[in-house]
Amino acid sequence: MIRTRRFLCGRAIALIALAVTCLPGVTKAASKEEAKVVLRFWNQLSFDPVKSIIQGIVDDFNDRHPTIHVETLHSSQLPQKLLTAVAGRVPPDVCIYDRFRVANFAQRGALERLDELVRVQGVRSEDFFQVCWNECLYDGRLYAVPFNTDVRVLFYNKRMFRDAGLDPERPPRTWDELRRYSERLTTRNDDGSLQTVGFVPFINFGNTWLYLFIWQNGGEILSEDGRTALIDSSENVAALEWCRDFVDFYGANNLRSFQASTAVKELEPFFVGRTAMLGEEVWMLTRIKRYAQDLDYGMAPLPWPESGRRASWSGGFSMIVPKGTAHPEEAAEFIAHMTSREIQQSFGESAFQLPANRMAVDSEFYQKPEWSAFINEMEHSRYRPTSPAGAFIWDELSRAWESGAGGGMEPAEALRRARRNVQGELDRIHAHEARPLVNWTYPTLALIAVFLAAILGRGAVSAKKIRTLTLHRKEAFAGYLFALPVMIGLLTFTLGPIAVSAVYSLCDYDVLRPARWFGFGNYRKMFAADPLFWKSLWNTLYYTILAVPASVAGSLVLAVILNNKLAARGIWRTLFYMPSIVPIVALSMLFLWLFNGDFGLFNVVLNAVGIPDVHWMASPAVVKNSLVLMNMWTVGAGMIIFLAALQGVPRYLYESALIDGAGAVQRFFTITVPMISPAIFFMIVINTINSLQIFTQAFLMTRGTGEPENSTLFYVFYLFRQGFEYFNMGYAAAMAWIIFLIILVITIVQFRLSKRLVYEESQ
Amino acid sequence: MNRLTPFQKIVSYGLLTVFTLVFLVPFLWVFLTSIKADRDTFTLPPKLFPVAMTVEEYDTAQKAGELSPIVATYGFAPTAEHYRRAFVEFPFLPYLRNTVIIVFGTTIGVLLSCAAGAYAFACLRWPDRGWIFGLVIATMLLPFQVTLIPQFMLFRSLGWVNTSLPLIVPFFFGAPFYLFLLRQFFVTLPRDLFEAARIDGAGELRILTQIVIPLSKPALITVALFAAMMAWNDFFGPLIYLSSENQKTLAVGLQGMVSEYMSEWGLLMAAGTVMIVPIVILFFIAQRYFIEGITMTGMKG
Repeated sequence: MIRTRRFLCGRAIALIALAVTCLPGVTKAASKEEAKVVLRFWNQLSFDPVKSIIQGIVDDFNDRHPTIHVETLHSSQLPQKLLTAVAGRVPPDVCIYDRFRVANFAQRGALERLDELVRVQGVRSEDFFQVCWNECLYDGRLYAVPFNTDVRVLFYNKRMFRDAGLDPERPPRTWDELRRYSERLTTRNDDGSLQTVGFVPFINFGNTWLYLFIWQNGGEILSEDGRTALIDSSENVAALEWCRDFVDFYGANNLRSFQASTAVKELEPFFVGRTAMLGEEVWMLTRIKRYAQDLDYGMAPLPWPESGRRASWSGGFSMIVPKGTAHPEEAAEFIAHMTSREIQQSFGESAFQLPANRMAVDSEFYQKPEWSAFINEMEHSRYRPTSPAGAFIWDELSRAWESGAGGGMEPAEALRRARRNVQGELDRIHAHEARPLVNWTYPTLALIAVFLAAILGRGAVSAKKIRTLTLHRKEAFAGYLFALPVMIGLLTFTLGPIAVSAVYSLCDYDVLRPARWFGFGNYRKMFAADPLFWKSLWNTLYYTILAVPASVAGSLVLAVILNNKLAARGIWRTLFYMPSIVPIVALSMLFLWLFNGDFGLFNVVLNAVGIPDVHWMASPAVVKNSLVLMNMWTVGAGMIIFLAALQGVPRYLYESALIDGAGAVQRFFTITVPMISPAIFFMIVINTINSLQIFTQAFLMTRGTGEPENSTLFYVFYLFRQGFEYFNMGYAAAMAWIIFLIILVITIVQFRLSKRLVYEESQ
Repeated sequence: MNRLTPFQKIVSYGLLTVFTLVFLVPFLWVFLTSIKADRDTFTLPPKLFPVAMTVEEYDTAQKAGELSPIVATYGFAPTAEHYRRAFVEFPFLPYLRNTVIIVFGTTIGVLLSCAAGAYAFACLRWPDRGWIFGLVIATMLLPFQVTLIPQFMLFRSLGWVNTSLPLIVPFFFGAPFYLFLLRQFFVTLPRDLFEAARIDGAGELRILTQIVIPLSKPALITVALFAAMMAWNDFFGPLIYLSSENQKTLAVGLQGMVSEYMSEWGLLMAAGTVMIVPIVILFFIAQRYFIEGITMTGMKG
């Protein structure tokens, strides 16, 4: 019986393997295409329906163009991918890429200058919205051509206006009116919590951000030349104080529990009539169409202070040509096609997007009120300063906004801190070229010398030892032989790259340009001048101390229960293991839903037994515990390891214990635990290592922000941000070495302890 | 495996039932979202079950006698739309093919190199094994993000970028996690067995293949399962090294559906469900061996 089953099983696997290998193969470019120039095109707008529409445009281009064939890759994670590809000198020929991040690449010489290239293709700056075009310039030179754009306006709920006795056709126009309207539109529950709110100038309410309020109040972020941070000017402080005052009216904690969903934009309280007004941009129309078709809403310019100026802000995507492409002219031709009036119009209309080419918005489609509300705002719109420190400035301003408006810090102090940090980053970036280039000959020679000395020196010692062995000489040879692949792999794929990263940790290295010598500058900054380093370290240790014991104990309990003779064990085991195989993207999104303050399952259950709401993802004090809780869903993997280990415990031990009258608990502690102690030890070590490197779920669940108040900015998360968003790979490498040393110490301690506590038969 | 008293049984089943409810929630949600129409995905109050029509539509359909049997009986109407799209618009089969190649390659590589390596580190005595093993474990401690760039340069100089080789070949040269896991199992095997085999003239390869491997089936299956699963779900490796649409893997395709602006929730969850099912089946087959393992290791008793 078992044999037939196994046989069938084997057959099934073979069949599946066969079917898989025979599946329609890679669509190779047909032979007639071979004469064409192949353009490798990477598209960051990688989600449907936008992606399919872009693909359609490209297919059409390929069909009609005699000499160019465009090969597309759609990828939402383009920033990391592009950075590695450009650094590895295998860049694509053309990309659709976030305009905000263009300067990051341009300043480091990683992009082709497009001024001439696209001019000869007939691309003219006056055809585009000026704000979009200017965002593509760095130092007065063109590095991108804008593709689409967004712009912020005030969305308001007309029904809520009517209910509050406000005229739905007369939205607020000034900051004062905005505040008065908001007070009218706010209702509170008996316990003081918020039932509905008006406008909220705070993080995660709409898509306005501190930039907007600063501009409206007449302030600026950077000086004209981009070298000086002006973040704590009096206009800016006044803008943040206005936010603070507004937030105080609601109560920051009330707002946190109100808006407890942060990453799932579809859970927008505006859709269900709980937020009456918010600043939003073009994508909002798609979401309304999809999730709130019946919403009765109006659109208006965002109110500005009477003493200030009308302002909105725009971001969007653009087309770039990375340096190193063999086909810049063809890439420029493709860009000219993609940004032409015709293509922009058909793209915009079918994708429900606002094209960056303003010639394209003359159609009937864009005359509709919801679109003209956006288009009218374009001439007042501004863009975030194009700076190689753009991403850094964004994070610092968000942080200042969160703590300054949220009450964690005085507004002036929060902005002073932001200015100091931004200025430091600007100075570091601009000092890059003054630092000496690293001459790689010396580090390389030194590394080779160290490796050789280690291998030869250690080899000589070992050889002598082996010669003295008589009994085990063959065994020793076999040991080297069996471990040979591992040793080769260790040397080539791991130690080499690790050694290189050690050198980078002593450099100012932005990946795109050759590394420059920085001595211990990275380490000095880390310990002396970077509170976020300490914060992220603390976050990580806190998480590890809670998560490791909880998950190891959880795995062990499940494994011990399931190791008993119970009905349908296979099904139970499969059930408990299943959450561990859910792709992390899906698991993260699921938990955002479970943790949601309003209609997340956890709060629904807690309320049912009379416990008030918990701010799972919104409270800085709770959020790490929430992630520990979430981690408990994946104890199934540990359970498997323990189940496998439990199979190795000889049954006679239990039988003799039973005869001696030992109870179940006693048997567990005197037999099970010691016998599987190598597996327990393994689980503790591995869980510690993994917990100290927690990254993905925090990154996905906070959309890369580390909210609230950087409470989920874990160590590797911060390291990733430094390396891949600020392009400060030298600092990231230095951070990696510090966490390496920390984990190393912890692991050595664990190994030392294990010598006394772990049972190993063959030692 | 122990026999339980009736009381222990009741406690065990009770605990398991509670755990099951808790552990099933993710799946229920993933699955239910995959069969919900978009507009039912986010509603207040939340709807667990898909209702593909509004109350008015329901009434109209009922009056006209056009209510489908499922809606009439269960009060909700699942939609297969997302699954249709997962197979038609999302190039599921080519992605599956790419993923399976990487999964097979990785798993075979891990089993070969780690079984041999773990045997050397756990069962053989040789002068350098302690510190080399320590070094292997130590490489797990460095976050991969920092070695990414130097590694990429290495694979580029080997001409391996845009092939699946960087995702497979390194596993033929050991993988610290699996090596450590197997080593922890191998050290519990009785040394006397090897000594006896050696006295009988067995070579080390024979001891490995005929004694150690058969005795460690649960551990090897665990390792194979983990290696397969991690390769199946790996997202960052394929993202960095593969650069054409027709090389994409399932995990990369899945990630592509989430964005800052708009996410295809239904499609994401349908594709997610389809992606989970093969692993669940694989696991269900494999877990049998954890039970079987006992009869084989029973020789210790």
